[in-house]
Amino acid sequence: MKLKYPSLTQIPFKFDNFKKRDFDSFFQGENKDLLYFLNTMIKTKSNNSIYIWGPQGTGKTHLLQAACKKANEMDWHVTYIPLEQYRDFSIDILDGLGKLDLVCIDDLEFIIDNIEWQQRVTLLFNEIRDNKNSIIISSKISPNNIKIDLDDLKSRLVWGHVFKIKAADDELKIKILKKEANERSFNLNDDVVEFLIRRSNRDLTSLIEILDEIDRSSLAAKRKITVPFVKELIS
Amino acid sequence: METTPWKHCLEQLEGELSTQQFDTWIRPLHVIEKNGSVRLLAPNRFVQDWISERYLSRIQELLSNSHPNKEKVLVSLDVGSREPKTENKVRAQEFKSTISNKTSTDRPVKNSSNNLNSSFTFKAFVEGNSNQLARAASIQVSENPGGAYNPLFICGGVGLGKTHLMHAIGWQAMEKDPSSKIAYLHSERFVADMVSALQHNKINQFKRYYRSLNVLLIDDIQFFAKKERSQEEFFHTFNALLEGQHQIVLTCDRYPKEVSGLEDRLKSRFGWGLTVAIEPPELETRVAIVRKKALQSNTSLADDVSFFIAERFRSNIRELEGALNRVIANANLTGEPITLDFTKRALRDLLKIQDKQVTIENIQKVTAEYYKIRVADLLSKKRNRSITRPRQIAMSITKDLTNHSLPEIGDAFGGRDHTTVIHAHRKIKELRETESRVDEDYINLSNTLTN
Repeated sequence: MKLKYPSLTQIPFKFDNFKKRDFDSFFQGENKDLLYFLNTMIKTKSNNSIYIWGPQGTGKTHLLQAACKKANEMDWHVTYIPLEQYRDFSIDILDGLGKLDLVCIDDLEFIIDNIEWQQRVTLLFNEIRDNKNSIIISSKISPNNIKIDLDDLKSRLVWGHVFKIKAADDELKIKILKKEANERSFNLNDDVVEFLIRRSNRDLTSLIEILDEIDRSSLAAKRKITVPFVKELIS
Repeated sequence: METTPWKHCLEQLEGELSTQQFDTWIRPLHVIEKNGSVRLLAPNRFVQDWISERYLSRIQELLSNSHPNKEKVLVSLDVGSREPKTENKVRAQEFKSTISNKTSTDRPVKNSSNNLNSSFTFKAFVEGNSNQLARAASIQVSENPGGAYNPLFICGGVGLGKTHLMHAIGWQAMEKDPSSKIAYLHSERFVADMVSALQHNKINQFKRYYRSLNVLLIDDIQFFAKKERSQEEFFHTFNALLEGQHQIVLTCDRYPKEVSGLEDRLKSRFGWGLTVAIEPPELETRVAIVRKKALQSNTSLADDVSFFIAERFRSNIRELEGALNRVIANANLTGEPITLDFTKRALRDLLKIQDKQVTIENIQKVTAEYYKIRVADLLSKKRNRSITRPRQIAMSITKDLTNHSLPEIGDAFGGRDHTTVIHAHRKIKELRETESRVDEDYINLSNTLTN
């Protein structure tokens, strides 16, 4: 996406990073079984390993963070490890995590070229299983197709439960976008939201990024959010 | 719920930090509040350092602010987990795997002194042609540790039961002689314990502990590769145990000779005893495994169901277990009986787990082949029905299966306008309801593309 209006000099408040995500705010669409499963696992404090995969913008991070929140409410000790950010850190960050009740690992595909991390995650898997704790892993790629060189890890990925997370259809995307806009204190008219769905890359993460940009630019340019304005912005 | 200073502090922090920061660094903390002081336990050094550099002073500030008299609250930050005292004691006394020294009392797991998992016994092991030899050798060893086969080296691919046999040996040997000292650990843990022993000047204690064992079970020794110092130490431990006629059992994902990064003298030593291989299980064994695992979850399966699962998931037992878990979970969710049809539905995702990207090019190619026309026709200006219908279906499928925008789809189909794509999508939707032929074509094509 090319941005028409350069970013403001002031560091923008990235709304999405601070949003508290929970299960209730997840539009389940066709993911009823997955949601039910996650909820039940945490509510009943049972242990399991879960692998969730699906394309960008289907809500994987939302679910992982919601699981952390819920688990914490149940007095579980949890942590969230987004590998995109942390794979450059020392693998020591994973030490002792097998003793936590739940570990959520986001973006597993970011360690496909990193055997050291793969070994450490394998070990973490063993620790978690031995301690009867739980792990939730997310990835854009299915456990069979992910290019994990270490078979020890690869076979462990399918051990527990594997869920494909299904993308929202257009109708649901419209609903979600309107809600996201409301949370940012502006309204999206039907024509604008339909235009967005039709005209841009349609995965939700991208759509929400555009929403943030619309928010910023319309304030900066002091313009109303109309189809021509949005068109100008994302063309 | 009662609000404590820490809870108040948490609420503040949650608002100040991003969700990610909060989830990664704050949520894993174990907190002990006592007599106005707060003790924070981080799961490891890394988290401890991170918190102490970035968040500790703020935490201190928030805690003091929430104190009724704004008094300074004493905050300490250490590495540890629940009931850390018990664990420190264990670690100080003996060098053994801390992997399973879960000290939480509400979920007792296993005999804490040897790390053996109680569900891995010979009784629970399903025998088949593929693992017969390995099982027989393991039973022999457990009956007569330090005797005939020393070391016993079990090799085979992942998820075939190596670890299970190892634990079973441990249990059986213990049953025979409850006083014997048995330890199971992963080779990485041996390395980690050794490193920590070196750091804390306790290497002699480390040696003494390992050399005093009657049965030492070390899993996945391929993880020793390239760790020279650990190999050296292990070599000596190995010799000492062997000389004292103590039993060693090792597992590896390949034959000792094939492990690269392993010293030759170790490779040759590993071959001194007996090396047995486990092969992937054949169908009958897989069926038996599925049945046994189902029974463990108090579920009985019809023959056609267990055969179906065993036939479809063949590469390793973890995969088999995963599939079975899914079926049982779905049955619990829906309350439906587990029939063959139900099983197929429950495993639909796993069976077509390929997520090869559906591309526009692929959609065009597959659609053209299906209707026996050329891709060039799809992209051409031709408007006879034998071409337009496939083109509309292809555009419609592209809209449904990819994330491309409508103008992009129009472009990819010979530079058509995005309104043409909308029209095609609508048209196909209508036709699918009225003409079963169109619906069938659409479903066949989508299945071909996603399977």
